[in-house]
Amino acid sequence: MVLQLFWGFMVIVALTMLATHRRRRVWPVLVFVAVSVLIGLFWANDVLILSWSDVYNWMSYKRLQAKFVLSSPSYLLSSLRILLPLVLGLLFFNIFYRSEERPLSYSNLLLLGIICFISLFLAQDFMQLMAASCCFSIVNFYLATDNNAKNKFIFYSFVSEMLLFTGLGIIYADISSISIERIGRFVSRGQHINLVSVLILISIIIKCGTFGFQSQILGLTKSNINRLLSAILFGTPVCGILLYHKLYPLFAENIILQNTFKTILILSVIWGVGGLLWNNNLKSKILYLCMSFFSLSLFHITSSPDSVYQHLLLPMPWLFLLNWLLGLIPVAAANQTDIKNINGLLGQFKLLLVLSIVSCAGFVSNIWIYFPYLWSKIYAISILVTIGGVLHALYLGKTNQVYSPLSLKTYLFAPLVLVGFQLYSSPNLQVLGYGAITLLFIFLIIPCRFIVTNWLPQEYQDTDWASSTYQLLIVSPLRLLGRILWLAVDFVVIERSIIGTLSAFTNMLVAFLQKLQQPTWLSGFLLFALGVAILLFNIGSYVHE
Amino acid sequence: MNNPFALLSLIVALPFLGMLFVLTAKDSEDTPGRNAFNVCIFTVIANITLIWRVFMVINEKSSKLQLLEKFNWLSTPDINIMFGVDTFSLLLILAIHISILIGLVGVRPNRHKQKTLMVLTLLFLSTITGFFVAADIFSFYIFFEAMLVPLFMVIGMFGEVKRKGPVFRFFLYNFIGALLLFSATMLIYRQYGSITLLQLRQLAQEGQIGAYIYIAIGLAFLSRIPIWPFHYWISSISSAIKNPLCFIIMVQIPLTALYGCIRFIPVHFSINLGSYLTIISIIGAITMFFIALIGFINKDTQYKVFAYITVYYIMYLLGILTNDDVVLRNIGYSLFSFIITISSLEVLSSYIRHKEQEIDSLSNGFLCRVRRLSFAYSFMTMAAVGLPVSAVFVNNFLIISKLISQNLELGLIIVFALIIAGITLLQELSRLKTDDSRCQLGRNDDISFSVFCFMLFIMFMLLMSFIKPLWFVINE
Repeated sequence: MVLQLFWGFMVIVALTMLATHRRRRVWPVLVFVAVSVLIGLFWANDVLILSWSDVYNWMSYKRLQAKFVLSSPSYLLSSLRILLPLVLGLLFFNIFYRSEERPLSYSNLLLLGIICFISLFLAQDFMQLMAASCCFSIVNFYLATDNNAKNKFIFYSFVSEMLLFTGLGIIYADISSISIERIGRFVSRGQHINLVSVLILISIIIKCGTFGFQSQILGLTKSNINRLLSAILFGTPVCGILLYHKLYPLFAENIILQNTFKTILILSVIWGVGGLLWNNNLKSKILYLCMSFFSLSLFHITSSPDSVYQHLLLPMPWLFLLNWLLGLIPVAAANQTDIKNINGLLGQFKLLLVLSIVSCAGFVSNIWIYFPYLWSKIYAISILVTIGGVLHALYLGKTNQVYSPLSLKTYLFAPLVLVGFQLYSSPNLQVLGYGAITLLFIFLIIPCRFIVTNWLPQEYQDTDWASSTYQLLIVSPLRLLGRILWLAVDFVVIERSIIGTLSAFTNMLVAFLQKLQQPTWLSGFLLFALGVAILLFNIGSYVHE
Repeated sequence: MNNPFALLSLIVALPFLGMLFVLTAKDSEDTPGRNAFNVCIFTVIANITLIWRVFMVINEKSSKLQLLEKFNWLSTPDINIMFGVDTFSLLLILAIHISILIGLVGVRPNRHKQKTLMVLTLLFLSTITGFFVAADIFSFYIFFEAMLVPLFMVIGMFGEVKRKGPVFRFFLYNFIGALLLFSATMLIYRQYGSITLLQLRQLAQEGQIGAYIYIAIGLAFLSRIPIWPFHYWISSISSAIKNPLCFIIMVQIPLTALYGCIRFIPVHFSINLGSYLTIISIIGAITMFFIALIGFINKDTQYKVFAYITVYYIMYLLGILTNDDVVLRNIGYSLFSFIITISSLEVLSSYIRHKEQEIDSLSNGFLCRVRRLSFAYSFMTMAAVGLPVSAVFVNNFLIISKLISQNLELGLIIVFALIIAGITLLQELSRLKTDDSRCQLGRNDDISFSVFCFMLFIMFMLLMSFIKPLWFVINE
């Protein structure tokens, strides 16, 4: 049924590309209906055992036989059952969300995102893997609306793709195979294993937006909430985690690399929690929260690579819903994103608050249960405290601003249904309940408000430390080196030295020949001497003959 | 001849016939050059159709030259004109025709001496087609030189190169290269007579004469590829040319050199030749890195595009030097998409430059206001940097894997150069997509719908080439 879903989404995207801009609010409705039908069919027919597989002969080169695989293993079906309701919710939201200027384009990107997810999940060879990874990057590029975000994104993604490309190229050069299953053979007897592992791991680190490479994720701050959520759901961090899961054998035996990677991930988690605390911008808080979660998730997957389902997919819907509900607050508050300027929402948005508490509790309960390390539990508690403080600051603060209570009615429908669905399918209601009560308690404690606002001066909050560092350490030296090579080698060595010398020599020769043509006794004598010299050099050979 | 319809002669002659029609085309005062332009477009499209027909006739899996045609020219000395084609050369011919078509779309609004430009373009197309179908050494040499005549005239008259120095140097270096190739051709003829290119590859040249032949041929071809130290004059010319069609014609010259290397490189290397080729590989890799860096720091858009093209051409050269038939085929597929992509990119860039000059405004953030141009430009940039939207992606993977397997350090330098070249293009895309209030260009400055449809067709071709390289071949 994945095959039907995959091609169904492709057909919808292809048909909607032909749509005109007239009645642009009607098309999202049609897309929603079509996708609902497809998902309904998928739900009705899915099975939990290995089902039929479809393999397409994609590329047939002499030394490279690439296949496009769309088989349906059980863990993909389970993953899609988690993600598809979220997609449906976003499509429904898209129908009513007026801030989205291009709703049809957005829904296409969302569907393309899930197509990329399926392709990457099912990839069995390097070609499908790389193509899906690149498509993830392209989709994310178009999801970002802010040009600054797009610019950062494309540069980071390009470098990441090229590193992945190079690493897989070295593997292919060694084992002459693009099958992912054969990576074990490369690990056991291949050359340059460490180099390949480092290259691909750096690629994954960049994609996941971990510490040092978070600029591309944080650049989404200026995007609308629907695009931000799509980038979280089908963004490069998810792509990076799936890549790690697929290529795990490359890293499994390199303990030093694993430990270094884990250190970076721990730093990312700490940085994420820090960002959640010190940043006043609500959307930045959302993105830092995602950064910390994805890093935490990846940390646990490094220890047990087959735990993508527990450590990524199970908590993700709750995280997604929490971010959605937090992201609706600026919508209600006339696009204000600074927490200092948003206060006193409790009077009009009690439902929003309740849903936020439930979502946060769901997220934290999943981390508490499925993430085994002690520091994961500490992370869960810190999230509870921080979100409690944020909710307190938003809902219980005093304000003079008036917010229209009608503006969120239709927007809350989809999150409400999804929260209900998650509660229905959640096996951990008891722990969730404890989490909700704890959060409610924290929400009501006043001092927590101050731990989430006014930590750092605004200019330090807005400074992009990573980009400034790269500019200083990498970009500027490269520019300097380019300038030196251009001026020193091109101008001085080639233009002035080699070409200049040849040109001067030619001029000198021509001048000499011109002088020989002059009607002077010296030129006549030189010509005579030249003739005698030629005769003397050759006369010996005549005598010899 | 084993083909009664002489298809290869026809695809060489058709642009020449078109040129004659263009010469006789009359234009009204209201629309000067329009008839000549239309005849030129029709000729190119007709020739593309013929080339498509040839694809259906040949066996694309065979590496031998097919559809051989031989015209007895001189009996003493025994010099004939011989044509033959394989998949590789036919792909390049098709790519050049499509790129010229793209270039013609780019110069459509330019009315300055348009008839002359069309005449020279068709003449160049005819000679370069003859070059790619040449099957023996004399035919190869004749067309190798013949294509330079229209090239010089196009660059001199329409290149808008302000300084005369680069143009003179361009002539001088090509002339010296021609003399070297001529001397090598004469020596080969003296030893073996008028042999075909395939037979030549099977022979290993020995002794001093053999060494001279290899050096002469090597210098003749390398002087056309922007490899150090020849990169300077090529960059001076290429970065100065503002006319997009001239630029597209100019960038076919390194392609002819690559093709020459493929046809002349012997099947079996001697140890000495192998060591020289290693030195060329090292110089090539360093040149790639060097040019990529210069493109990165240079603010001129044209130089950035040229730097990108140079890096990729040298990568293809290094792939050719691996002397692997499978890699050569991949280079052919990749070159097909590469030539079309750079032509499209150049036409779109020149459109933006033209708009800048027209209303004397910066183009920073221009693409934020124009959707059609933005889509086309973004797609072409993504194709150029090697994302999976064209055949460049897969085939470069195979080429780079082979280069890495031969020498890891060189391979990493090559990859690093490719990254910098890609970032250079992305820099330009970023500049055009970062909104700037100083830009006075608006929605009305977008490309026309018809041009956009044409670009969509080109994008479709590139995407299809990613899925299957010879997707347009329908075997009989």
